[in-house]
Amino acid sequence: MPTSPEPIPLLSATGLVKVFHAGGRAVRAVDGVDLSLAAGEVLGVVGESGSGKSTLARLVLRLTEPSAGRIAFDGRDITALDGEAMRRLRRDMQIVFQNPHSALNGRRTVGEAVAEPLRVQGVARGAALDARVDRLLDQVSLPRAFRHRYPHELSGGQKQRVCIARALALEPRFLVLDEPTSALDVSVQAQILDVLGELRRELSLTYLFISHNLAVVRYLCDRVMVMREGRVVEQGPVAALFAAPAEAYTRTLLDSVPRLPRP
Amino acid sequence: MAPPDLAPALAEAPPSFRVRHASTIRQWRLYAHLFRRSFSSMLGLALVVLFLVLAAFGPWLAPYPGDTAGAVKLSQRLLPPSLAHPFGTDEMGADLLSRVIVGTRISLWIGLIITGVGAGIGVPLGIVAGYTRSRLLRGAIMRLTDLFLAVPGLALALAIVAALGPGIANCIAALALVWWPGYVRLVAAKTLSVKEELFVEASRAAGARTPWILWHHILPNCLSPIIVKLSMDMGLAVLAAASLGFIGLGAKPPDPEWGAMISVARSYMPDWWWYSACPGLAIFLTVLGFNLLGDGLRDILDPKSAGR
Repeated sequence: MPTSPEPIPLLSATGLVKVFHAGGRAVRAVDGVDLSLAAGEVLGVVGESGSGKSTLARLVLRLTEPSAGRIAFDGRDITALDGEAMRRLRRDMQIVFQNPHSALNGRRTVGEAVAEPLRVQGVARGAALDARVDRLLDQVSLPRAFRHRYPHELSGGQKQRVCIARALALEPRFLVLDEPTSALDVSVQAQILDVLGELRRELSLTYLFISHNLAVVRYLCDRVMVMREGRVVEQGPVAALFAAPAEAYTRTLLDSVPRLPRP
Repeated sequence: MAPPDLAPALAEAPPSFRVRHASTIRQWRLYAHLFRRSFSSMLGLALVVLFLVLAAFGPWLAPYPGDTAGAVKLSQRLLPPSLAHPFGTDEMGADLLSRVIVGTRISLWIGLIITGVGAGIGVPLGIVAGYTRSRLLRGAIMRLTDLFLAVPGLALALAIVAALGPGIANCIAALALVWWPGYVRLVAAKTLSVKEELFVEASRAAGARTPWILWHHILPNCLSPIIVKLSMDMGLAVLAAASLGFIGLGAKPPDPEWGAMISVARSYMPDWWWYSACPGLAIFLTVLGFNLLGDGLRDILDPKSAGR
């Protein structure tokens, strides 16, 4: 690591707040979160359901507009970027959703789904586009013939691979993974995690990894951030935090992982 | 052994049509299988196909093509059904079967234009109303739709025809203008649910513009109910046009239009019953055919609402 003083983070957010109004009540889904991600780093965000993890994931990509706070990507403030500039920026930041079954349009083939980012961004067309789609399917270890299939003919793990290929199509630098394995069978989870780990090494990607599965976070992440009720409870390097959690809530979370009783 | 330079060429050969579209073909074969199992769907399809064939080749299929243009053969006025004239003849001596067959094309055109224009206006308005985040725009479109739905379509069409003057073109225009609100309701409701789907957000995350999302994600997922409604509406539009013809606001009597024919035949009831029965039967079978087809299509395209 070069000895430059405090490198510019790839992504940083300060004081992020998102308030949802439901039935006359204001719910602060995300309540003053700061985060910072260096290039090539994997930051895990853990917390129970409803802790604001997924909202945070959508906020940093501006898929949901924050109620307050600032987001900077690559040293540039993107909080107030207009539609067209934001659209161009999306080449660099992509997302993989939790549920691959609903993240793919059932009326479009796998090939069309993977090609979509390239087409809407005007990156490739014709034979070049076909070649890119083939290469992307190779990258996530799917047979090229799958490009003519429809999502309902694929298994959950295969669909999630398609979603990953789609997210990689624009060669982004930053990927948000919103519980990418929690809708999948345990046996398939490991495969998807392997794919993600490999891609990160090959393409030197930066991940924001949302999960409630602590074992998965431990496997993939460098740093981890614990959230509860929209606030950050504790954060730090994975090894340190798992070995010596400072906060009571983190300890509860760690202890709540079901284990087989020792004989 | 193949020459070495042939091998890569073979490997690069694009897959055949059957391979590329295997999934689509499988899907259609499933649809065909489901459709064939239902007798009423097949009956509807048969009636619609018969109707289409008559519309396309009517002038060649009619036994007395000359009779459709208003030939006068006073020697054979109002003959009952016979082998020479299976549907009998009218008060001018024209063969009714020929007139009914040739009238098919007029009715089909009327139905196609009315439903086509209705859907052409209603579907885009519905998608905009469903997708827009502007409450004002959605409110404006939906209230206008409510306004049109509140007045019975046929009554409104009557008023429009009365204002424009009777005639087949004005009749089509009037019905087309009152036909769109149903599509707005249907498509707006469907769009509201489809736009919350994850794949729409995924598309937005990839940087897709709104027109792209509407065309590639929203519209294809609204298509099934639209197709079902189009089929149902074809029958209703034919019926509505015949109604206007019957009360003398649509097609005019020498034209072999079914509603206009019944209108004249009314005064020959009940002694010369076949005169009104034949065009009436044609209207009945057409409406029945399109409705059964629509029902069958709904059963395969939209299985959740089947069996109702």
